[in-house]
Amino acid sequence: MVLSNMTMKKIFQICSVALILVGGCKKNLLDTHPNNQVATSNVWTSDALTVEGVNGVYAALRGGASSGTGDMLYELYSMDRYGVTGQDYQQVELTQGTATVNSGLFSTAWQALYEGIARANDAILNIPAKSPSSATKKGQYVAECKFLRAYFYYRLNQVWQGVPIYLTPTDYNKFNHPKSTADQVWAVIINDLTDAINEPNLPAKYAAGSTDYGRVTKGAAYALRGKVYMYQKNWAAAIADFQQVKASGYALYTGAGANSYSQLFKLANEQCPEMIFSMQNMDLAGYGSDIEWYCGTRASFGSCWSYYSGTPYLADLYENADGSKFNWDSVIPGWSSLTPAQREVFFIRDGATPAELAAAANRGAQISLYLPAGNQARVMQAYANRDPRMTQTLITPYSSYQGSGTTYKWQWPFRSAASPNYDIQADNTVGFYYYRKFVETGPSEISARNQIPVDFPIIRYADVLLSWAEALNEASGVTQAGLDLANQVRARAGVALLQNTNSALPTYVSSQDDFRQRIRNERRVEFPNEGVDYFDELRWGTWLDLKFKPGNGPMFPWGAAYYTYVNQGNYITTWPVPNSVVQITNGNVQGTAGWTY
Amino acid sequence: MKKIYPISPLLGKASNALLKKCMLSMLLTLFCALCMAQAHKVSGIVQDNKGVPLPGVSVKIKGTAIGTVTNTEGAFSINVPNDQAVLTFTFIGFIKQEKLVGSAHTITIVMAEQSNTLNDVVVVGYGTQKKADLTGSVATITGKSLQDRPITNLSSGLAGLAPGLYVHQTTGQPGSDGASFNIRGTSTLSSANVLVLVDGIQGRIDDVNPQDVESISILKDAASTAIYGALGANGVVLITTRKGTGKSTLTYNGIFSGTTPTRIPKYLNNSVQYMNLLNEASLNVGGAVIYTPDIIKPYMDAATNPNGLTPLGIPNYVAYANTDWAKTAIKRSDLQNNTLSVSGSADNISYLLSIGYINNTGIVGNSGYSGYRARINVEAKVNDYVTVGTTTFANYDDYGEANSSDFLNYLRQTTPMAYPYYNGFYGIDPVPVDGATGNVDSRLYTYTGDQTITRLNSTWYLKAKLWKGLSFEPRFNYSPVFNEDNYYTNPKNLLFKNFQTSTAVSNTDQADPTSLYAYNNFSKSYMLTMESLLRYNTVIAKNHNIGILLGYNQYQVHAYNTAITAKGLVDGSVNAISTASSFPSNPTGSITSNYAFRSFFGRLNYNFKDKYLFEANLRRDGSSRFGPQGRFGYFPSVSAGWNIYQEPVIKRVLDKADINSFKIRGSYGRVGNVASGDYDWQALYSTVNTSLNGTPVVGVRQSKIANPILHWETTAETDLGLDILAFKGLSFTADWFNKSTSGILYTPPIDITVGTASAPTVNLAAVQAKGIEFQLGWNGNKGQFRYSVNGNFTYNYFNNVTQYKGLITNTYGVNPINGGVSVTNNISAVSTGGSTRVVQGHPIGEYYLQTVYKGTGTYVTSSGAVDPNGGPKDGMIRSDADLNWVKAMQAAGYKFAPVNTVGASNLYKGDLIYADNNNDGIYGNTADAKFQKVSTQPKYLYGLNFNLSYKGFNLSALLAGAAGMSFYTQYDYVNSVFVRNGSSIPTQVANNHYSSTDLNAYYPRLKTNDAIDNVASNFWLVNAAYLKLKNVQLGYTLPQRIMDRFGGKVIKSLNIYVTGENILTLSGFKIGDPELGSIGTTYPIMKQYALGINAKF
Repeated sequence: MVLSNMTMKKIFQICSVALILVGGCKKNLLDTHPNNQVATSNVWTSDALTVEGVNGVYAALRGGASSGTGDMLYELYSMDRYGVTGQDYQQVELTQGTATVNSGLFSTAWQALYEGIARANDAILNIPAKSPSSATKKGQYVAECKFLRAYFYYRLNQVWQGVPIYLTPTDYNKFNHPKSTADQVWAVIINDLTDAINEPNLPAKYAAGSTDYGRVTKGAAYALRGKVYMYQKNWAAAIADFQQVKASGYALYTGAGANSYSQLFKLANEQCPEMIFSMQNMDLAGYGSDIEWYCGTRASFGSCWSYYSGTPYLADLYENADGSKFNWDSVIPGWSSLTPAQREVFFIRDGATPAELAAAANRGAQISLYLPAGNQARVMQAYANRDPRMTQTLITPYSSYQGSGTTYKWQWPFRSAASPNYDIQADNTVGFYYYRKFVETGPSEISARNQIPVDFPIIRYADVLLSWAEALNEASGVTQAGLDLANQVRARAGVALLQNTNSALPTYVSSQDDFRQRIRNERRVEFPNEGVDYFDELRWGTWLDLKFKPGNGPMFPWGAAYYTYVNQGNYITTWPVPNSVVQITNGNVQGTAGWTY
Repeated sequence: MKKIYPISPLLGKASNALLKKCMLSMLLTLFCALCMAQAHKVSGIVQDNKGVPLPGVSVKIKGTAIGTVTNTEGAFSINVPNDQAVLTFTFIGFIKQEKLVGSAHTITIVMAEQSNTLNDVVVVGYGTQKKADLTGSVATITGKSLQDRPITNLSSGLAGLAPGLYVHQTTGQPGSDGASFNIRGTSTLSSANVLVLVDGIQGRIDDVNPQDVESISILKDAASTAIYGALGANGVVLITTRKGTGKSTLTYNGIFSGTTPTRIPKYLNNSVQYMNLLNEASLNVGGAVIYTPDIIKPYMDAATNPNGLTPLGIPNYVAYANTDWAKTAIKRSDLQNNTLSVSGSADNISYLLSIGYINNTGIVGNSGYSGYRARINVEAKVNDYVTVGTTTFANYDDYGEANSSDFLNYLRQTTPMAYPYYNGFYGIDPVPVDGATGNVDSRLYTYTGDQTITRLNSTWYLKAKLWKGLSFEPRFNYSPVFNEDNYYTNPKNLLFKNFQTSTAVSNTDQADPTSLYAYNNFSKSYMLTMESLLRYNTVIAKNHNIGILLGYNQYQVHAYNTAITAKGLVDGSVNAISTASSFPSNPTGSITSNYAFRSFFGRLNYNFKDKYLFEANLRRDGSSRFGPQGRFGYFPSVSAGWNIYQEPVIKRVLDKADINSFKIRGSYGRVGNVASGDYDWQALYSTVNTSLNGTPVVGVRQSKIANPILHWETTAETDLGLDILAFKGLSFTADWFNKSTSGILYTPPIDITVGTASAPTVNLAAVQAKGIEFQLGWNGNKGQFRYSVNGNFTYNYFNNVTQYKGLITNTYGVNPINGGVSVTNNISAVSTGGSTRVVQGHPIGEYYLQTVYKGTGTYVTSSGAVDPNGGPKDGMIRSDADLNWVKAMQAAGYKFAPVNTVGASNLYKGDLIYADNNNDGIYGNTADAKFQKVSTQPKYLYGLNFNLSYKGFNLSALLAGAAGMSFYTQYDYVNSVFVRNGSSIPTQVANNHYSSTDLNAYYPRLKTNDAIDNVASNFWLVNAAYLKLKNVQLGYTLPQRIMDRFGGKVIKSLNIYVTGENILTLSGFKIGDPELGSIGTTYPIMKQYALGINAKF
């Protein structure tokens, strides 16, 4: 077939069009780059990326998750439900008797803490090797990351008592280090903290308002190392470190007089000199704490869930203002001869309807003791003239709580959250000692329940003081120096000071063991809802006895358990290495004794 | 059809009946011969069996090139040279017909529709092929089987229409109710998306208006999909839209239907019963009564006088409500779907313009959807060598702002005590235990605003004939999608009241405009495609047909979004984000997707006399989703076929058996799947939130572990097939396939000691799928009565993971009580999943569950000792004797898990106990889980399609079903014995649970907290096989004479029909629609009854 010129011309035109189309091909078409992530090769190679990498290690304090996600597992306060001063109205495996080596609690915490370690390892190796930042900055950053790595190992060792140690970035398929002993882990922690303390470019303390506020300080490193020495019962070393904390400029907050304790946990004081190291929070989605979500009630802003509350054990532990032990019988004679169910009667509101009384009777309340007009006044005496921290920490019966716009009241039995009752309403059941501490009041303090802006203290000076007192007492018995340390905390709270001179007074400290018990109680009433107590009780060896006392469980103020705890075995004081770790390492990491794998 | 020969060579061998017919023909021929005359003009009309004129039918004088085409009235006229002339009539989709003209001057031809005959032309990858010449496995669906059905999207209409294709709707949400489908089972563990090409360009199946579809091809085997290389592993669906032919025709198609859910979970709607059951549940676990008698009594009193007024003047039925939320919230949805199209061809141009409008009010408030779909297909022949054209469409969708995908979740989170709406207020649950409002109506109207999605898709192409048999076809496509979602809190929706106390609930934190939110979300994505094809077809020495295709394709996809949340509005009616007073979270947005593909491909076809068929394909693909080391892959395939019928010796035998065609074929090919994320091959650091001194600072952390050698998943597939036509009406196709996928991209379980960085994506696993597919059809007629039956059946008899983290190995120990052998395995190390597992040697997602204990009920052995096999027969502790057996077992040292303590709040009467399958002495710990030999994937798929027509009437039915799969049905508040105030109680549990008054009930006792009965066990596993009557349709086409008399000038033809979709479901799975997949709270599938009109102007 012969083509005409015309046709040839057309073919030429077509080919030109085609060429233009094909010419549209980019040579590097397949080389695409993300614009929302940083390639590995670039990280640590600029000043900005260096500090951003270090900030990433800080973010792991919340357990690897972004903050304010509404996942209670990640924030420290949630650990209080396992302690003896806190409770969770929902059943949780550890206290329900059903924890297994596959339980999410253990694997989630393990993974989250090792995530922090992985980020710190990355920074500690790569900052000296790759970063162009100044030597001063690099020294500071590495020291910060060593502190953070020490903190993550500290958290692991507190409950696992011996874990595998990784100090350099490791390939994902080479995680097969066997478990080190608790002592070996403490040694690693002390080593990192000592490095941080010896770093000349790490400041002792940041002033409030400093743009770097929230970063690790030398004071924090001393405080943490002192706490680690407590675990090792190396009292002298602990005391020496606590002295250094004081020398760094940390002090108790007393700026609001009698209200200092309650004001300490407000936004205005989150940078006061008492805060040695705290998790940084902000009122911005993804940057705040969800503490109110889980501790606040339906009366709180945003309608919160009140999973966690204080125990009657805690409430009863608060001394009378004169330092004597609180005793229900002195307020309500005959209290101790009644069963917890019978005692409910004392908590019933004035003017209860026959139906309400009948229902209470049905639950076992001793209705014959009900005072139609004076019932509330009677029980409220129990909450008067006590250690002021009680009402600053807990919403006690018939006290008020300013919720979102309206003032609500703890009243029993619950009628309605609306006018005219304004009863405090909770997520599923009502009537516990709900937390007041760390739960914001009124709508002005927050804008959303999962972005609480108040920094959450990880170590504060009161902890140092009481640990210091404990170390002194353990090392040398009751001393004035030790009493003074504890009394600083008591004085700020507004409760009578301890002494060892007048044995007639309830504040008389009679022996080393008496002081030991008093310091422990002081810690229990000072730190509720701060994620301190559970670890303390484990360290003291008191957890099993107190948590699994017969009949114990999440309790109403009158001592009736919502359900009862089950101690599945004394081995649960050591958390089990997650089953998946044992399996995936083919047993290189051995399971924890006592647990069934 | 029967050919008429003047002197039949068949005569001698014909049967008697045939003989008679032939004799008649001969007589006729003789008669005609007598009347033989000179050339004359013949005119006539061609119509189908319904009497509808067929435009565009090719009319030719046999043996010549002389011919014409029927016009829009189906009329033609042609000059024939003599009375012996035979006219042949051909039209796609109809059986070719020949007619001896004789002396007739006018003739009427009725053409019969053709289905699945070997003369069909089938669309294949980058071209078309005669069905007779196909060597791969391709199923086809004609546009006809989709038109006139009340479906608003194409995908959900495909169920049951083709073998090997599993189509199931995963939601019925208006505007999002497209179906998901897979071809030949699941051959990967990563995403198994079927490649969909609309007129040759990658796209979404539901972007196409079903009325615009000309044909759909489903490419199943690797030989057919290898031309799509790395995109083809999960099968390919090719959709061809209609082109204009004949004289300009305006067509209107309208469907008006009412829709209601097929099956949804049912909940208790009696408040007294509800409260009593919650009390029962709380008492069961040793808790206090939740609803005291003083709360319940007024409800009982009110029930005797529902219309009475409370002291506050509110009707009893409001204050003491018994709300049936499903009834209140769900209304019949009105759906209309209209399409108007103009199509035709003239001179050198052909065109199809269509516009569609869909409106679906939705079954719940604020969930409506409306959509517009416009299409322009134009093709212009510039000259003999060059044709240019476009296929362009634009869709605009508008969705209601109800979170309707979650509305069944609302139904399970409410109580009958809340009253929906009265006197300007939404009711809350007034019973003073739980404050959750649970008002389904108010939750549906939480937001107002608009979500609109605009899709544009334009392809421009050119077809140029360069040389004899050589053509060049470049094309270019741009397809952007814009999604705008702007919504606001609805302040009117925040007024709640407790109707018992008549107090408004102070929800001021939201009703106050300073607390109102406005959200603006915008996303855009687009795809750019460039493609060039070079084709060459030639015939050498008459019998050697050769076809060659060479091609190049590249495409790139970009997508990003911006989302802003603003708070603090001036007023509920002012919602521009610029007027907001604060921004409680940082705006989000990024390029979420950015990838590109570059491919070269080629094909060679060869056939000898249509008898020996051969085809080979090769494609080289490169993807930006892999690093330089693993970027390119080659994907070859070969296939061959043998038309045995064409062998003269065999033909004679087959003809005797009345077999009209017989072909065997086989193929082998390798195709790929790119399932990884855009940057999985490299390690990346992503940002993480943290702050210092009350100011956000940027933090980065490694979020993904790298794998630089990441590459393609490869699927090798063998297919053997058989195609038979017989008895002049029967068609049969069978295929056997064996698909092996290796290097499946997967993120293996890694040691959690690594931290939270995602595991690397590696080419780890392998999966094999084997199955057989059959299609059997019959077309027949008795006079004007025509019928067809088409059935298809697929049996995926093997679908296992063949390589993963190793086989399960057992460790043996000693049962501490009876000294027997106990077994534990390493399941967590070698598998992933929970109640369904991915593990080597088992079907994908096979259920791995504990099993309910089954005993003899005799309690003790002959020696009087406790008998471990003597426990309750059905595994539920029902009597004191059962409970005593449990205690005796414990005394003997056995343990029960997850709870071993006997007591009301722990293990008690009405609880299940689980088998000690591993014989470790603990009944029901995780080590007792067993594989259940069943997964959620159906093993059997089938479809059956009937069609009957008589004169203008047409009746059709489509059945589709699946079998061989099970669903796990434990789901809190939907199918569970765990109850909680504020959440619904399912009816089937309420009416049939263990209690002191119903000792033989099916479900365990009710509890307010449960660790025992919701253990993942086979108690909750239900066979989910189903058969659905997908569609029934009765239509009537008005006869031509009526049309002529009445609307003929305006309306050329009119067809009206009534149809029902999803009207019957047979299944043992009752809690929801089994087609949706596992139990959940997705928007239900709809049952529809519709009236349709199809008019041509």
